[in-house]
Amino acid sequence: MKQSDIKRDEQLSALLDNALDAEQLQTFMQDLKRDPVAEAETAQRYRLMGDAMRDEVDQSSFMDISASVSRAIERETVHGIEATTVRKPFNLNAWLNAWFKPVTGVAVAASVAVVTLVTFNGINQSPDAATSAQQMAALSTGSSEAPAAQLQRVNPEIVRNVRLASTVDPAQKSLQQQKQLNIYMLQHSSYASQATLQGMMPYVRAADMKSRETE
Amino acid sequence: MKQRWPANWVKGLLIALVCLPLWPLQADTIDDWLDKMSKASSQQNYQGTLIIRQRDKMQAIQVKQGSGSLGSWQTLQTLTGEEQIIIRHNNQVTTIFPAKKLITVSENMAGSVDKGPLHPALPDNRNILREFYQLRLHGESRVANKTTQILQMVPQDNHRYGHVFWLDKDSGLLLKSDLINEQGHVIEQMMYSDIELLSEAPQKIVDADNLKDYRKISLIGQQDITRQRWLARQMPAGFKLIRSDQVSHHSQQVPAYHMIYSDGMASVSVFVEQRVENDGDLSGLSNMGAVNAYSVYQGDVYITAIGEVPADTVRMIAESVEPVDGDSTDAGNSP
Repeated sequence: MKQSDIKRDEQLSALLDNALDAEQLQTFMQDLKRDPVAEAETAQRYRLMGDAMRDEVDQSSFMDISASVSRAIERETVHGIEATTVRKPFNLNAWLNAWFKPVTGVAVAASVAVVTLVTFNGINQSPDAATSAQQMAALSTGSSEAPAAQLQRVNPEIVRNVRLASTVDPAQKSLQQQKQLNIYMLQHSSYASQATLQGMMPYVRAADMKSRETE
Repeated sequence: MKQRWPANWVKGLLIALVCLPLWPLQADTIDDWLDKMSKASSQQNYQGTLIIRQRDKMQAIQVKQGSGSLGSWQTLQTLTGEEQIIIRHNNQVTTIFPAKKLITVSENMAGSVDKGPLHPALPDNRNILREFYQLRLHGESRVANKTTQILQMVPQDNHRYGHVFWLDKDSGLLLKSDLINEQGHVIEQMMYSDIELLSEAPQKIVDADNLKDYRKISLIGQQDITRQRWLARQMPAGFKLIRSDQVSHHSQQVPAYHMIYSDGMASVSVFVEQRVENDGDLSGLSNMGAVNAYSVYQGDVYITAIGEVPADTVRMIAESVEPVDGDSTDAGNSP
C-alpha cells in the first residue's frame, strides 16, 4: 500500500472517530478530492450501491438502503475491492467512546412510543391544527388573487419537445421506479436539510420512508 | 423629608437604568422570533419525543440534541417501524441499523466543513424570504405543556407549501409545525409530545458493546462540480440553484447530474441521467408524503424533479429542464 494511502486511511479512521479538527478535516477532504484513486473508488462504491439497489427484487426489502449497502459491500469483495476506504481496522471502540454511553433503553423507548402514539390521535383533531389550516387556506386563497400568485405556465415549446408522461397512481408504480425514486429521495434529503430552514425534517422523512417499507 | 425626594427619584432612576439590560428580552417581532428559533435549533440542549404524521402514516422518533466544544450533535432514534439511529454531528451523518448490524457514515464532502452545517442558517436576506411568504404572528397555544407562539408562513403563490410553526415562548425552540398544501390541507405534521430542555447536553444513546460486530461502511459525498450542464428554465420565483453534483447511483458508467434549488424554505432536486434500456416507462408523478416527484424522458435522457413542493411545481420544473448551450450528449459527464 502506498504511503499516501496509509495516511489517507489513518485520516479517514480519525474522521470516523471524530478525531479530526476542522482544519484537518478540510485538508483531508481536499486531498481526497485530488486523489484519482479515491475518486474512482468513490464512484465505484456509489455505482455498486446503485447496482445493488436496482438489482434487488425482494419485495420485502426494496427501498431499504441499508440492505443494499450490505450487498454493495459483498459485491465489492467479489470484485476484489475492499469494502470501504477504511483499510485500517475500524476503531469502533474509540468511536463509540467518543459518542455513546450505555443506555437501558429500547423497552423504555417502546413504552414512550405507545404513549406518544395515543397522544397523537389527539393532535390530529387539535383545534389549532384545524384552525391553522383553515386560516392558511383562507390566506392562500386571498394571496392567489394577487398577480404574483398566478401559476406559471409551462412553455409550450418545451412541452412539445418532451414526451409527456402520464400521471400514474403511486401505488401502481413499478418496483423499479420506486427504487429509483427512493435513491433520489435519499439523495435529496441529504442536501435539503442543509439548504433550508427545515433542519431535521428531511432526515425524518427519509427515515420514515425506509422504516415503513420494512414494516 | 420633602427635600429628599429628588435624591430618591434619581436613585430610583439609576437603579432602573442599571437593571434595564437584565430585563428579559421580549421577542415580539417576527424577526425576533426567527432569530430565537434559529438560535435555539442550534444551541439548545434538549431531549424529547417527536411525532410525525404524513397522511395516514405516522412515526415516533426520540430526539436528543447537545451542543459543546466539539460542535452540535443530534440523535434521532426511530421508535416505530425498523429501528434506526441517526447521529448528526456537524456535517457528518452516522446511521445505525440494529436489525441489520450495520453502521453507515456519510460525509458531505464539499471541501469545507462549514458548507454543510447541522443547523441551516436563516437566509442572508430575510426580505427575499418575505417576497415569497407572508410571515405573521398568530396568537399563542400550548404544545408539550409549554406555551408557544404561533408563526405562519403563507406562500404568495401556488408553487410552494405553507408552514405554521409553534415556537416555545421561553426558548424559541420549534415544538410543532404543520406543512400545508395549496388547498389549505395539512399534509405533514410534526410535534413534540414531550420535551425536556436541559442546561447540559443529554446523555448519548446506544450500548457500545452491542455494536462491536457491526459492519461498517463509509459513504463519501459527491464531487462538487462548477460547470453547469443542465438548467431548469422554469423555476418558481425565488428558487436559486445552490448546488450541482455528479452522483453515481445508477448502473450506468456515466454519472447522473444533480442540481438542487431552494427558496430558503423549500428545496427541489433535479436529477438528469442517461435512460437505461429495458427499464420500462418510469415517467409520471409520484408522491411520498410531503414530497412530490415528477419524471419525464427527453430523448435519451431521464429527468426527475423531486422536492417538498406541490405536484404542479415539480412537473413544471422537470418539463423545463434543458441542456446548457444545447449540450445534451450525456447527462453528467465531468467537464
